[in-house]
Amino acid sequence: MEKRQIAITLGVMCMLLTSGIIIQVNTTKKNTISSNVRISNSDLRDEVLEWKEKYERVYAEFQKSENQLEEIRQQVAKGNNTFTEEEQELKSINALLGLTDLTGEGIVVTVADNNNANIKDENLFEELVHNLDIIGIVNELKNSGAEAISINGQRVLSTTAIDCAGAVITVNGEKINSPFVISAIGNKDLLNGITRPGSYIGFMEEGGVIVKIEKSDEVKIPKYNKVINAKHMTTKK
Amino acid sequence: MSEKNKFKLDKSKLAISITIFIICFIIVYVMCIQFKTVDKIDVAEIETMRENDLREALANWKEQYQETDKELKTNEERINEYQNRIESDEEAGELLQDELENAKMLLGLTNVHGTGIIITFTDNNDKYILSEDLLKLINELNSAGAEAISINNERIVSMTDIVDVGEFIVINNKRITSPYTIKAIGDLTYLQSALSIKNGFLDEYQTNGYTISMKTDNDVVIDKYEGKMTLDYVK
Repeated sequence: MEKRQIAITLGVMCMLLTSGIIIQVNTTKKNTISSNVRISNSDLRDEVLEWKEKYERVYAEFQKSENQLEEIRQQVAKGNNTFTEEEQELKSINALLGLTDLTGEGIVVTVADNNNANIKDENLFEELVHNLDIIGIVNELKNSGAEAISINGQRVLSTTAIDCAGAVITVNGEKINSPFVISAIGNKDLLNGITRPGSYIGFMEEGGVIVKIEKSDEVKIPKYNKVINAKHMTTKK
Repeated sequence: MSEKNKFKLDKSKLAISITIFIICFIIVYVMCIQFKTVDKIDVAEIETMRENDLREALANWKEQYQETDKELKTNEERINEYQNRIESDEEAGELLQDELENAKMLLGLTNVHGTGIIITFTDNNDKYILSEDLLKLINELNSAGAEAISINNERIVSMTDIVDVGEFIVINNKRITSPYTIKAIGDLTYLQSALSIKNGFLDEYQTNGYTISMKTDNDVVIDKYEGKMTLDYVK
């Protein structure tokens, strides 16, 4: 009787051991495959870095040419009233387009995913910030008279898309993560109206999103960090 | 049972105990290795996932590079032209005007035309279109590379907001009502496929009972922004 028990115990243990080894072997096989992938990845990574550097070099050169152009424009405009006017107008249009860094009074809205958000939460959706929430906040800021807006340093243009790519949000094609810092220049008291009861922000806060709002006299909004051009449209004469 | 027999049994029990102990030890050891390997595999999975991201990033940087390089060349040409005119004492104001016109076009201050799509979005008995639907649509169009957008001839510029006020939708402080005609200029095929893709904007809204249709047009005309844009709070 006792012997039989021992035999069974040993049998079970052997089985466990065998299955452990089989799993182990299988896992090792998979691991070898992924280490090959890792090697090709590092090539790919190098290539990405190479093109990023190439882009940064050409962008720096582009910036230099922009500055050069501005100097030439001033030179051309000098002593001619019409040209001076045009030169000034071009400058202000470029600022409106998002091609210059701006500073001014306004507010900074920070919204963040709830720290305690858990995959098991019934209202998980309300506890996280989604791209549509950011679109909603940006729209309310514009409604309250925002003149320039940025999200985590990405300038919002008329052509800016705020997309959802799985767990991250992209603005101007760049990935950004929670906390989302939305800066807006405009009348700070009017802009602060976006916190009024029943507003989009209030609704988000009720859902569990973390919200912080700061008025400031020195809101900084960086310029758009890419080129703006038109490939498909022309002015209709 | 004699004393001798009892001792024998104890001895065999001891051997069995030792064997079991050794087996247990091996099992635990194997499991430990196993856990470690699984841990590594998680990392490996992230790295294979990253491969797609890497490819995406590579395509993105290449495109950025080409776009910027093109703009750089345009700027260099412009600088040359300016310098030539200045050196030969010619009128350079014309060039300034060209630049101004181009900047105005990009900002939305001129009427523009080009290839694109026209979407008709209409209230029906079940579904009533709200500002958030239009905001979502604009975002989809921008995501598909739209260069200019208008809704019921109201140009969408960087300061445009869209809100519901009673039965109306207000864009650029003007009331508009259904049917909504949304025009967008951009790459025709790209715009069309991005919107009509399965589970895309059109599919989603049609499935939910909205009345929405789209057509392509080789010459979409979009009116300029009629309001004023100023930076009064910028230092």
